[in-house]
Amino acid sequence: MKQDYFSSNNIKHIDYKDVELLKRFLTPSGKIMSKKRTNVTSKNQRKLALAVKRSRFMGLLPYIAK
Amino acid sequence: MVKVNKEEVIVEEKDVKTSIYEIGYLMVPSIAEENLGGEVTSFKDSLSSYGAVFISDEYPKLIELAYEMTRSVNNKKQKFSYGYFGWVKFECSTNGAQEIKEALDKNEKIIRYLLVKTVRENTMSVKRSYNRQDSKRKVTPRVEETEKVSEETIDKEIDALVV
Repeated sequence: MKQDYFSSNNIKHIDYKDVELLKRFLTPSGKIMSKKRTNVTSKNQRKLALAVKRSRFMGLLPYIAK
Repeated sequence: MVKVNKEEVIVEEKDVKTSIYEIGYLMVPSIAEENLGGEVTSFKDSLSSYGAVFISDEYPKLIELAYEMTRSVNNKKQKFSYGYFGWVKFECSTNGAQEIKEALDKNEKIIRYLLVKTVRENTMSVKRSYNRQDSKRKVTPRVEETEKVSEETIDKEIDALVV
């Protein structure tokens, strides 16, 4: 069983400015990967989704990658 | 029996609750690099005028936006594909945060901003550099011991090959 990335790296708060971290959990087209693929807990998946959406709003991440 | 002054109790109850906030902002790219410092200080001064106590911040950097943004100023749409992105973390009352929000909406130098509640500690994940060091294998230069071969032996070997 794979472990949660955030718990294993002791990341309590997922920051929307941490673009390199967030990019790990995006598909090549810019979609947020499903919980099945990210292997993170439900709680962290929700935090991740919020951070990605904030980052998209600020223009740090694309809504759709070409 | 101790008499408690009623006025003092009321003042204590009115004591404002403060929270930690963070503003991420995108400034217009038309600002020259020399004037950026002045713009940032005036932006911070406006925040502190609403009672913000700064915790940490990052100086704006010119970044290429992931998509083109539009903002209408004086009924004119402006398009932006670059912007100075910076952030500031501060402690402020809830009323102060609302006032800051209203002030930022009117600020024409700011393309977009994001006001979020956060925590005092640093939320950026620390890059694990030790992993990279592990992955880098130490390459020891190979010292190839070459036997010194005289020209005569080389000539002989070539002759043998030719024949």
